[in-house]
Amino acid sequence: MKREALSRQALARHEAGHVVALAALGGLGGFSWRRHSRYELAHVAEPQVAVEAWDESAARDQMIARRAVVALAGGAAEGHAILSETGPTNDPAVIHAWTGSVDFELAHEWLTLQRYDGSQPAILADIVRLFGEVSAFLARPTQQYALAIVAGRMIALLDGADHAGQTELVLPAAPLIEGLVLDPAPQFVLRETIQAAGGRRMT
Amino acid sequence: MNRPRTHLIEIDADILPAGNGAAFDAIDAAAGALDRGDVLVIRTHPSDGTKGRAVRRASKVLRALRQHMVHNWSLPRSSRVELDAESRGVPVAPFRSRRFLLPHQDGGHCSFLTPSRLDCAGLSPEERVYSSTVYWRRPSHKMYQGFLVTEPGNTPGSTFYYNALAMLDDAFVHQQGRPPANIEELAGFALQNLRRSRELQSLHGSRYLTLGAFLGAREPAHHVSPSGPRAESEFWPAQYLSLPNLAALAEECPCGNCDGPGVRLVCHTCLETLGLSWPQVRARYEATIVAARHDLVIANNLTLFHAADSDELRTLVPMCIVTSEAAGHEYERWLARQWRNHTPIDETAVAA
Repeated sequence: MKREALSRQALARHEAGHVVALAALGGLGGFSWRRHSRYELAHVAEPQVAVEAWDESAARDQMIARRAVVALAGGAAEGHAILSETGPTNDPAVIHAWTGSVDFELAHEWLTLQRYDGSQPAILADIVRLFGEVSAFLARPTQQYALAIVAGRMIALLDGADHAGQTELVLPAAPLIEGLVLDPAPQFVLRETIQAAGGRRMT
Repeated sequence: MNRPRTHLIEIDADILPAGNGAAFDAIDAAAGALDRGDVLVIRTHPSDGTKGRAVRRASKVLRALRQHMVHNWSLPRSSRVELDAESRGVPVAPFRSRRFLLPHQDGGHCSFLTPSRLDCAGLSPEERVYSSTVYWRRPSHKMYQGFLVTEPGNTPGSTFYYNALAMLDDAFVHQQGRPPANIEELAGFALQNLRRSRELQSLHGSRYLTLGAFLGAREPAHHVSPSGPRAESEFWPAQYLSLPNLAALAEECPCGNCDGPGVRLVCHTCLETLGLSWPQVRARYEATIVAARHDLVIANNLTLFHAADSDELRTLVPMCIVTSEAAGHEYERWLARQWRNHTPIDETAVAA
């Protein structure tokens, strides 16, 4: 999710990151946009949590890693141009600046759910590593092309809403990426949070 | 009446159970205080600093307390002591080492204050379950929430308590312009607020009854909590999109001093429902407990909301008095008594 007051391009690039990550990981929900008085706000939804996924540790870990990656993907897409010049970052504060507080805390919260305790260093280490991995995935030419097309379609959609006097859109996100091919996504996994817990998981 | 009273009670666990004597007096005093809606810090003796023994002593005291309350204070016989696994630290927001947990009730998906059916016959016991999916952490109805402090953290945490019925009474006055005529009218207000929140559930998606929902907030944004529910935490993206006013409410608060999206929303909640800012609510209703290592803290989970300021290293063993079914004559009678013990309404004066 991104709140953006100045640049629709930045908003679209950020949300395109979520669209591409979700599409690559096999689950795309809706696209929502709302114009507020001082900014516009957009969000690409993930599919609902399947309750049965909570009942089995391995499936839960896989789902949590996937959710964290999707939350971080908007910042990875938006920060690509700068981060490709400066190199991968190990600084959670830099990642926080690119993702924004809502997406960063969403990723943080999913990782906290892994054990529901306060191992901040492990959570931040998983965030830094997963952000690096999703940044590398999105930096490949296939995904860069898709990001540009999806962002362009999104801008056209929002410009159209502006012209029609609309202040709110709720649409399926799938048409935004229709006809585009993506590389297979790598396997994103939890590592540091599980190690810090000594293999224990929330029961 | 606004602020719950707090007590430190010292009990020699080694001489429990006891039919009379010092241990009996201490258990009797603790039971009476809990029944009045007070907050207890129970310090068990002898204290040898061992966590395992502290857990065993505290659970022994709690079992004796429950039994005494069943025999002398109408606590339902279906109640039981429920111990949970020791926490492994406090989940804090990113870049923080402490967290302020906003007012809530433990197990709030199915543990919150409802009217007794003796006062409000229209209430169905099923209405005491707000949500039954993806809850933290057990399905039991927590009547008294408690915890044994096993590690206080770098700076000992504070737990704050608020009389839900005093707040509900004030919310009624603020919203209706007059005091409730009697317990039944206040109970009806609570039920109406619960039902409104349930009707809005498809919009706000909350799985816990919030302070704002309990106090009768109309604005759907007041029916959600941030993760935790921590003062300093953000809301989830879907909440921002489904609740158009949430972004503005989480950005700025009426008093201008609240630090964090979660507490800024609560500041608005308090203004809408009570006409007070969050700092004013704290000044008016809050009672504070600072517990030491191996203290057992316990209070009514239904007639009190509680909040907490905790270091990330603090650990606890949750110890509660719960029931599996919040229904039946004994439960309704006990609940009606809690309403009368904790509400500021003077029914004698009203009748006169």
